[in-house]
Amino acid sequence: MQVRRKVIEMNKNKKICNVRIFIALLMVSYSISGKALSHSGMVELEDSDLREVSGQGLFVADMIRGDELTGANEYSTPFNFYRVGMDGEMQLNLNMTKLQLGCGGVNDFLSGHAGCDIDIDYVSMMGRDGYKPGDPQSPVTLDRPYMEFAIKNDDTHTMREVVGIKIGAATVDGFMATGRRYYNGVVNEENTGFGSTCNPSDFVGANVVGCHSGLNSVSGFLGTDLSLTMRVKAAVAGLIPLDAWGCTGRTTTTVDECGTSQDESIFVDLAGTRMQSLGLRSAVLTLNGDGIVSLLQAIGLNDVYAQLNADARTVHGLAFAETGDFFLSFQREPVAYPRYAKVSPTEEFTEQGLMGVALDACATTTHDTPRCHSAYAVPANTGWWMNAPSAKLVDVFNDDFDLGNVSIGGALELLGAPGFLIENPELNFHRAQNCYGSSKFC
Amino acid sequence: MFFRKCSTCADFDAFAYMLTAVDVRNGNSQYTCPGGEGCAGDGYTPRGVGVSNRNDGPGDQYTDGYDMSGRYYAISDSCQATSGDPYRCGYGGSYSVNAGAKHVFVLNKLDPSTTFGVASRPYKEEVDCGFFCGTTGETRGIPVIRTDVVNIGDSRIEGMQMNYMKFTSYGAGSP
Repeated sequence: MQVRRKVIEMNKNKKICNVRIFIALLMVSYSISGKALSHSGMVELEDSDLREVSGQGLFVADMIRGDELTGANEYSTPFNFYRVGMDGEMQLNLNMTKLQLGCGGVNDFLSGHAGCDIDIDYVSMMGRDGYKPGDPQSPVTLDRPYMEFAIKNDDTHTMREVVGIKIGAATVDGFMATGRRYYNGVVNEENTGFGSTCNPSDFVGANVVGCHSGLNSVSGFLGTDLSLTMRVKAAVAGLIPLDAWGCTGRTTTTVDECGTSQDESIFVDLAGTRMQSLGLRSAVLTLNGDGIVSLLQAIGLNDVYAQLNADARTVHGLAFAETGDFFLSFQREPVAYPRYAKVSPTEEFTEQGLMGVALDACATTTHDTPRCHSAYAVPANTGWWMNAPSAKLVDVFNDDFDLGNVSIGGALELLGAPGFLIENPELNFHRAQNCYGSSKFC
Repeated sequence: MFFRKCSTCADFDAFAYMLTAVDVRNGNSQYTCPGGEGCAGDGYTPRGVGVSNRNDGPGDQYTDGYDMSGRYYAISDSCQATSGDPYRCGYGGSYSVNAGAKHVFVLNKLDPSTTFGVASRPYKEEVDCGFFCGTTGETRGIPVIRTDVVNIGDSRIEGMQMNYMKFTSYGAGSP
């Protein structure tokens, strides 16, 4: 009993001793800091002084649930999305000889042959001038670049899985130039599997494809805006000459009869894995010209129909004009990533006052598809995926397109939808030059 | 590059659609096109997908000329924009994977084509429904590869030259 009392007293004394030491240290500390303040001339900040101070984190982090935004669906709800971004603007100008992503693997089952999800030769990321490529040294601008991870089973720590990884930007503004053009006698080294023979005097067919390289396959979603102008020459039934300008979509040139307004645009949504061609059925070509065409114009029968099926290699560039929600991703199963803005494209255009003005299908009430009303992007397929919801392929211009002899049957096809088939036409697309410094790229 | 599920997790559906091209122009008389496999004769069959190795989707195809051994699943489509859904008119249609014995059908799985307003076309299979009935088409759903590991292939960038790069951080109050 006495031993226990002694122990309690000793503990009490120890506590008192500790408190005394702490108070002494506090007093010493106060006197030192007081001296320091007075010696350095530091003064207390007022509240108003704090208003002068500004700063913002360079890195931003966010978590978005797959079910919290408008338009949640089966490809978004199983996941939570973790986003790490930089609050800034990145400008780039770069060349790549060959970009191949997702070669082989599970998607070979889909295409039926060895290939890549994204396979592009001679890629340049550069600035733009309108919808044309900019100067060689001009940069493409990525606004607020970020990375995002799609996580499954996020609430169960032992089952948490990374399903997909995405690299993107709030908007991208610039031009992606692709491929090369070849001429007679030059071996097309990239097209050995299909159409490697180039005949520059051909206007349609495989020998046209042989004069081009570039977009071998693309996986992703491209919300495209298309237009073209062609001076079409033909001899109907070998007898009646035809020489006329034809156009479809909104074009800026004044040689044709197409206008520039939003309602003249042709919007085509392209989405899928390992896409290799670009097609347009029932394209209304408005003709203007001399001879029989002027007669048709006079009676209002100058609209003819054509189907275009172009190998993607004949296209040498896409313009991105402040394209929102641009990203590149890879995933093990389909994932609908959240849009950067976390609102649907239509809501975004409405907030910006651009409904009915912006040259985008989602800025209209007549061309909008369900994807325009979802705050989640188009589901990205298994494999690699590029998302560019507003890509411009406009003002494609060929002032010398000779169809040769067109049969009576072919002429009749011109009169009604889906129209006369033109397969692999020479679009006369030239690859943008991006020579810079010591680069021998072009 | 491989993705593997965690040891206690469920298998996942590696699944891709090959081509969906949706013409979103206003519906009018120019839309009289057949889509999907009906476009093959017009040169709209994607390279690498021949008719001989392709399964056709619902419709008359499952009775005659239906190719069970085909690896590919091509949904046939048709449209009449003046009286129906204009978005079904396009040069494509929807393609999905049908990897023989390795695939399973999932009923009521969302067809990604609906993102573009294209009506869902789940896979149908010919079944024998009895002596008096003959054969009929039974909806099986969307074919997927259900797996615990998937290889999404190799990647490379050859000959990359960065000519210019500049990063500018935004200040406070930037939009």
